[in-house]
Amino acid sequence: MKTKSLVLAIAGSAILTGSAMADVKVGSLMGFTGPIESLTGGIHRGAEIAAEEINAAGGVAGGNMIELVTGDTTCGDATAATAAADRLVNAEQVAAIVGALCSGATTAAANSAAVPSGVVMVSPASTSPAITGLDDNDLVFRTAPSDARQGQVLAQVLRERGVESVAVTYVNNDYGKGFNDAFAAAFTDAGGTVTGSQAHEDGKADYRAEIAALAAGGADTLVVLAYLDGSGQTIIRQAVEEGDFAKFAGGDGMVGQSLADAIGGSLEGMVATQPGGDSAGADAFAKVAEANGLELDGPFRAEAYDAMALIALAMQKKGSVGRDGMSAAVRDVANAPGEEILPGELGKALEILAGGGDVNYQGATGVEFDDAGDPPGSYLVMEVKDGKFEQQAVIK
Amino acid sequence: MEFVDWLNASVYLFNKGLLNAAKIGSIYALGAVGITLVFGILRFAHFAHGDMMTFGAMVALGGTVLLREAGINLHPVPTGLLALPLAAAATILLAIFVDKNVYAHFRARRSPPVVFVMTSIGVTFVLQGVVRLIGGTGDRQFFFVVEHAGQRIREDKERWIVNFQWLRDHFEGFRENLVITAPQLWLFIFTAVALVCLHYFLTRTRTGKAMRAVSDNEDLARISGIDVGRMVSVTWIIAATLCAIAGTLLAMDTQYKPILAFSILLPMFAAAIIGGIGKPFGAVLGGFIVGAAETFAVFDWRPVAGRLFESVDMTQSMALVPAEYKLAVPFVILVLVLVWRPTGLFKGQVL
Repeated sequence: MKTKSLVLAIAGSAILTGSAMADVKVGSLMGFTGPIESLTGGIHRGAEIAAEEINAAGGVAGGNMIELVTGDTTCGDATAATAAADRLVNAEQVAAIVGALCSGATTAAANSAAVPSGVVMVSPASTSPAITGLDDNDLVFRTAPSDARQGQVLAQVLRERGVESVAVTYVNNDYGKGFNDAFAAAFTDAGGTVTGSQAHEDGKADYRAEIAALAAGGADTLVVLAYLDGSGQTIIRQAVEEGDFAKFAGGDGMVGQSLADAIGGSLEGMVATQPGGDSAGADAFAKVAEANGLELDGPFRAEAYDAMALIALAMQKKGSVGRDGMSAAVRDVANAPGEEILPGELGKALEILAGGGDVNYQGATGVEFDDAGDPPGSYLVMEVKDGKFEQQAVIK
Repeated sequence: MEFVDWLNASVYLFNKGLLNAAKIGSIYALGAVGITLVFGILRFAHFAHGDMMTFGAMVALGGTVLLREAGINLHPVPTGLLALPLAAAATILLAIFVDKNVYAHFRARRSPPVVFVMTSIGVTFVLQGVVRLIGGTGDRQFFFVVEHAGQRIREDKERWIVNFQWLRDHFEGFRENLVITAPQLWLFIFTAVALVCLHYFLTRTRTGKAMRAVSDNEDLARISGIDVGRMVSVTWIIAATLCAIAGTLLAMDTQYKPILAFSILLPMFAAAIIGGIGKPFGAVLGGFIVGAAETFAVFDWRPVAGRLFESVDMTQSMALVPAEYKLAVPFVILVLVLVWRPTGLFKGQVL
């Protein structure tokens, strides 16, 4: 008899927990397969950690537990991104979406599924300037800054260092094109000369012909806007071998120890920019990540945590888990006024909001949204010294 | 314009144009020869060829790491080349294994060529999975630091700069030089040796002549007493060896990645077809034609033209096509050749 009641109790509590788990669904729309599949696991985990922290603190809007539902965009295929977003929005009935990651996927998902149904998307990784101009009824936000700004920052850094003329090679996708356009315009405005700028296909074995063509313009610095594990490394390697260029610069896609290890001494003095700041939030997130076993050896994990946290806090703010009013609530909790909230303090934020207070979520990346739903973005200037990328300055 | 301008322009053209074309052309040639041999004997387009190359490069990389751990090196021979016999043996075993277990099945049923082509695409996907399973999905460098005579030498970074001191002494204003790296030098040596050996084998040895007979007319060869099954094995052995060599040298010159050779599969096919399918030396010529076409299509002529003619506008690129269209160039050549000479330059079989 005793055993039976115990079993019943366990079964009962299991049912209760089970139903509680599905109180509110949030989509995690990411490139789980495809060209960034090695990065996606960690980014998704970043969002998961925030959801777990919220659930451990008692859930949102009167005890609703958050369940993350995944959708695979494949990063490169807009049709697959659309189908995945459509499933999340219409079949799973998610309240909001963390994602997508690749800029093309975010655009496709927003235009075809999220915006028509009034679902808020917070992308932790899409950096294309094109996202700023999306006709999105204020539904698309991102916690990763636009490359339009990074292009200006990189141009400014190079001009300050006295670089007169550059040749640019960029990977032929939304990231490379957007970055290149912003950089070229800013560098020319600042009085520099771009002697040539060329798109290249990622993943090829040989770029010597392209590099030789760029070197023919006579620039002394090669700006590489690509990925360090892909074409970026090959291009720098071959440019060094052929003696075409001796000085290099790049964007966030090029910062990593594997590049410095592979190229060796010839990389000395390479300048690169990457999103980041010296805020207290970054340190706080590092502690949260460590406690949850997430290694910070890849990009956009902090941004994903922030994206998930913002969605949860917005639901708490408006006191309901529906789609209505999400956009305004996200903006409200992200921007001043209110108590500043860092990673690991989500429980405290929930309490303040429940008591009718106001929060200004800072998070790991110093979140603040402008009218287009973009963060202002602060950048680290990195330079290779003694075979390592070292932080030189922070540019807001 | 002075004589030294001519010198500068021609050395630049040789270094940045011809040498680059020869580097990628050698790889295409080695790959296209294998494709064309398989087509000649087995009569199907072997799509898994690129991934057999990657497989060879992966084994060579593994062998290189083991040799480095064991502290074995024969400087100045790059350690990667010491692992090449292992890579060739593994690739041969792979090719024979796939043939016996997959292609032989369809050969016994006398299936139409399109079945073989589809099957080889299936083999491609399986091989891509195997390569990622064993070698991982990331890129890897073939770089190795070896101890030699008390010095630490990074093999892949070794390069020679030919600066033509005599010309510098005698012509004021001469400032071009040639750059060649160790893997590239070995690539040229291996390509030359492999092609000379292949020529000797096909024209001077009994087995080679028998292979050509099978390629010309399989039934006639069979009733003349030639063991066609053995010729098939020999074909795979040669094709797989060339795959291992090309894959390893390509990976040493650039870097190992899982899509190393899959990404150059189509230019290699273009090379085989341009040369005349089933014609090994046509494939070699095709390989160099495709390499040269790709290189010179995006070649910026400014440094050459600027030295020869005063009126050149140095602010505008003088490349024939923008770099992003480089991939399309081999196919334009392919279409032109097929229109002008449908059997390819060397009168091969019509597909």
